[in-house]
Amino acid sequence: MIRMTDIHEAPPEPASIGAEQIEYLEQLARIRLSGEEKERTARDLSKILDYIEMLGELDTEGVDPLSHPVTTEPVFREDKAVNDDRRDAMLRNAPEHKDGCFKVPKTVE
Amino acid sequence: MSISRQNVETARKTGQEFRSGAVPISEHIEKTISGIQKEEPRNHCFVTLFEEQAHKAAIRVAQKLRSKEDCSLLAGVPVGVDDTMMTRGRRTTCGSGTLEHFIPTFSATAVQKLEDAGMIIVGKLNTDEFSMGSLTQTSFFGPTSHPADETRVAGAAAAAVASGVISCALASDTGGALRQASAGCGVCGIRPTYGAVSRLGLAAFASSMDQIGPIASDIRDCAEILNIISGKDPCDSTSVEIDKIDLSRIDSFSLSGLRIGIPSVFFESDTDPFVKASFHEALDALRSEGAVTETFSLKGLDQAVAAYAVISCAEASANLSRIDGIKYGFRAPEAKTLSEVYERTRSVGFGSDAQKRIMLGNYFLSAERYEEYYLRALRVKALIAKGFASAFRRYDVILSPVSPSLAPKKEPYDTLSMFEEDFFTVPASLAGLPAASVPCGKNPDGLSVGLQMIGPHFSEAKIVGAADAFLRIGGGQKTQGGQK
Repeated sequence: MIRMTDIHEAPPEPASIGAEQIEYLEQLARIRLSGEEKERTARDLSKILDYIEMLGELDTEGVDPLSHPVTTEPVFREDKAVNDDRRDAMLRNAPEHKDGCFKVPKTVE
Repeated sequence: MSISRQNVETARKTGQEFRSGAVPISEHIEKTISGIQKEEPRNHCFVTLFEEQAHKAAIRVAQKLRSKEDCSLLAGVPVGVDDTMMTRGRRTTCGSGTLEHFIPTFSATAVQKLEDAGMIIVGKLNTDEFSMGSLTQTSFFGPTSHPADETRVAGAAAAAVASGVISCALASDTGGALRQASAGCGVCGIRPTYGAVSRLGLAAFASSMDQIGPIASDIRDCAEILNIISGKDPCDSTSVEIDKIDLSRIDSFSLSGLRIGIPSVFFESDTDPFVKASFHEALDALRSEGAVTETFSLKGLDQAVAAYAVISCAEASANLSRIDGIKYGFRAPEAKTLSEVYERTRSVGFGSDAQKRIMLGNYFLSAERYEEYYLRALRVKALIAKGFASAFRRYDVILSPVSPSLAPKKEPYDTLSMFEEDFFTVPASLAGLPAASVPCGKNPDGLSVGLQMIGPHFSEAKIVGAADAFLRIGGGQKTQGGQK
């Protein structure tokens, strides 16, 4: 079995998530956790990252990343709207709306 | 124990009875809905029932049949739809508190096609929050009970079919949910080739792997439904036209000479002994019909779950950024500023599993980790796809169990173990391959095991043929004693 450290690139830092990192991820994800949730999440994420380390056991040197498994041709269409007007139905799902627009709290002080 | 499968007719037979006039559609729909209502307190398969709409649809379809309008063989047949698929004007929650009261303004293409074919949607089936899971453990509405054991969980579409309240359903499959659900409840399900069914209107979880497919107690019903929902959709540029499955040719499908490959790691994995025994018995049964089995090694399978975890979380974190409390769904009431709206809505609205996956996804896509995790996962995915492609030059189908274990108990779950449960199912998801789950054993407690049949891209007809032939020789019907 090849370990991370056998691979000739610089070994990545240990994949564990600490308090500081959790805060960074909360920021990126726009999610705020309570103190207790923070701890539990850090523990769970670290466990998953530990598991994922095994990606490094496989030699993928020279392999091109694959994003879509079934290749299709580029698809073109006329730049023309085909939807009917569903503004009112859509606005009914909005938490708040006013004059046909989505309403949000003040964004600029 | 509330399985009364012997009374369940196939969807095709029900459709035939409607066409011949032997059974009125309205009456059948009424019976179906009261059957669901009776079982719901125990099973908890449905999030929303469309009682009124279904009755209206029944009248409409009956009229169409009477006037000999062009209708599918399944016209009038009641069907359940996983709640991650949009149903125009009818509540769609995606199993999430963020969308508890959401009413879509359009229907998913697959849903629309069912309704165009005259099928009647009786309600929306429970689902993991935005499909993140397999057996409804992460649903905002609580888990679905396994038909054979109330203390265990089940995928709702399969549980509803297994308990006999509906004969067929649409489900979604990203890392294996549709197959896991089918296997756990002893029914059939097909995850089609990526692109075979339009994803328009399926709430996006991991877009490069999400697919919609049928679940039914009968594999031919699955094929019939797949024929209805598949095909190119101008609104999903990854969708493609595929040949319809010719059901009249299924009877003549022979297992003799069928070349079956089994990746050797699938034998070495940590799998429940009963699952293992059932899988070996299935292989014996296939061999006794003249199929040829061979093991082979496929590079990357050991790492498939890890690659799947990275890719699915990365895509989910991007897809779920749309849940922001502005345009639809829940908004945290106490938020004062725009950024508080985002943060509080997502902190209160999402369940903890979704939050973890979103945070992980952000981590994998962050500038400093992108290469190490995301790109590496895509390279592993490339190796797996290549491995399958070369294996399919030697084999017609690749087999494995569907799940390494029997239906789990209703207990606190753990995100990592949910990923690990998908050990057998994620490889086909990563490679975009079609895969069916067919029942291949049931233990004395009524817990089922599924056999997974994976085929090359667009080989749905062959998979259905092989699955049907396997079921014909009794592969899925026997109840084993648990020995062996």
